[in-house]
Amino acid sequence: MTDTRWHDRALWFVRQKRDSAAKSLPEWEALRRSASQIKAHTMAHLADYLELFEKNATQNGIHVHWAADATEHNRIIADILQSRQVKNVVKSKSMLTEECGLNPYLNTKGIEVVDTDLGERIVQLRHEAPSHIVLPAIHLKKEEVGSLFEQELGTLPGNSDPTYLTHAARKHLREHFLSADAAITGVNFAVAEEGLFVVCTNEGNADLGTAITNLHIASMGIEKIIPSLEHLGIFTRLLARSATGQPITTYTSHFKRPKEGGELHIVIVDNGRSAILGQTDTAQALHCIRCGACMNTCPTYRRSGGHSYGYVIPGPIGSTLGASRNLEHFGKAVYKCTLCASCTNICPARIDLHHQLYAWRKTYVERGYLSPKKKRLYGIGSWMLRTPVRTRILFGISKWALKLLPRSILYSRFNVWGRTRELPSFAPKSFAQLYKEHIHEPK
Amino acid sequence: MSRNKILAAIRNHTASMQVAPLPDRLEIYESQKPDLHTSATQFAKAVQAAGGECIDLSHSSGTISGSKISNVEDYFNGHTPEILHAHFAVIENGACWIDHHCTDDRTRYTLPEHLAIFVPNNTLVPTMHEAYAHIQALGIEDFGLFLSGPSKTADIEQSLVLGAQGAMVTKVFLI
Repeated sequence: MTDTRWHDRALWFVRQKRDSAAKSLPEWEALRRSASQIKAHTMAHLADYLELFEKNATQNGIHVHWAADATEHNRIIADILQSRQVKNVVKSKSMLTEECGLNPYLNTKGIEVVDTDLGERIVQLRHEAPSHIVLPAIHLKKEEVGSLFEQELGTLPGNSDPTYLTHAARKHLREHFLSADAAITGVNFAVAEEGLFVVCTNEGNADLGTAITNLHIASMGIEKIIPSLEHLGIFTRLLARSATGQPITTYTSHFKRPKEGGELHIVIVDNGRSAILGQTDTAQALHCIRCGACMNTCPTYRRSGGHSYGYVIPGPIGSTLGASRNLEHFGKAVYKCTLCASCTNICPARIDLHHQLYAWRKTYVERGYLSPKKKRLYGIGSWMLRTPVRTRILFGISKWALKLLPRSILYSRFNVWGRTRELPSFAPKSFAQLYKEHIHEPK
Repeated sequence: MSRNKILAAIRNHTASMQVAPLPDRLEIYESQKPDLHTSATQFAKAVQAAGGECIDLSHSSGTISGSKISNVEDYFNGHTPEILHAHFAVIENGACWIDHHCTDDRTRYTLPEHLAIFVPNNTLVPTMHEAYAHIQALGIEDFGLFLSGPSKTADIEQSLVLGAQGAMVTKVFLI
């Protein structure tokens, strides 16, 4: 990605919509505090609430399954599908099934899975992963979608009008919906006292799939539980406002019992989550409701895009979750954070994201994962930035070097960062200069 | 068995956690000051923001006979819409509550291109808090959903497109 400004702007636009939605509610901060309290309470009693949910859901006629890890999750779903001779599945958005690698697994069993969320369908046709948990295809320009659809769906060459492309996808997906034998969905919230679960979409794809087919399988992480219906009032008010600035998703659907003549299954998945509960510094990561607001506000995410994180969930929340999963493998992402704390300040569940990323850095170094080269570099950086005089000298030299040195030196083989990117240009005046000028100016 | 293994692992890690009380819901209700005089207008604005249209027929008794509008096609450019009667609706977001009493066939709100949702104007509630209190009283039999406006997506370059997968046109009639 050479020019990242459009990506930055697109996400900042979403962030601004979130801001005006949040500001329209005087009780916004009270809602965030309540959400955080409900999550803390539920996590402290998680096993009890899961058992209560299981009891009530079973009474409602839902088949409840438990999966310790991704392999078991995939096997349970494949078993259900195979024993009913299912060949075609429509799936609505679920980051958990991405995390478990469900699609490729089902494909090896001869089962076709069609992702029905438009953004997810786009990335599925491109054989890549979603780059954002709410806006899966945010890394693509409409022209790229246009040429993809021209190839895959036979749309008119050169036509990249979003309305035209969306309606072409609608037609294409309708065929898959109508010929599907089963529907897989994620879960946004599971209500323990009712034994029901809630799925939120704007496109209605989860509703369409489950309305047409008679077999519905839902995958949920253990942390999706909330105690009662009353708490949904708080989370449904926070979720869409934080995600896209809408006051509610178009479809907020509550599934309590199978349809007449149909089957309803739910797979409760651990896959490393219970271990996170035991991490005192970072257990709060399980409070996440997957709104994606931390990505939209993150200065690094907005410029680098979701694929650069290397974990199934990108951005601030993905960095801490990836580190929990496998620090050695995914830990590098915690260094993307500038510690600006914007994510912490807008998270609807008030997760202390930047504190977690800082804590992970300490562990990363303690466990010896930091490469010797970087360690040396950080050592020099830390010495240079320790006093104001040294900092001024460093910035003075850098500014001079960037202006006067020829490209052959600036982009020599030592500049690994500059291989795929342009170095930023310095602002004409430093913050310290501007501050000095403005502080003497009369208001 | 994975079930017991998972529950034991959770209990093992949460045993030392501080007992956190659930929030007192009063804190949230305090700031609510619903103005019932303007509620229909506010609701109509929310429906519009969700990409739909709200038509207030509650004062024009002539067009409604029983629970039917005589010329509902006129509102849909001649198309015949699927008609659903919602239990109640929410002022802050334009969402209408539909459950098995409204339709036992879930394809009725997903497959059609045109949806007409009828809501009695005396059932509007200010926010989702009152909405869920209402649902708790009604009870959910097998399913229920909040539906606000037509199906939509902004997955291609953040351009909002109505009619992604479900209804292309959704109109709410206050009766």
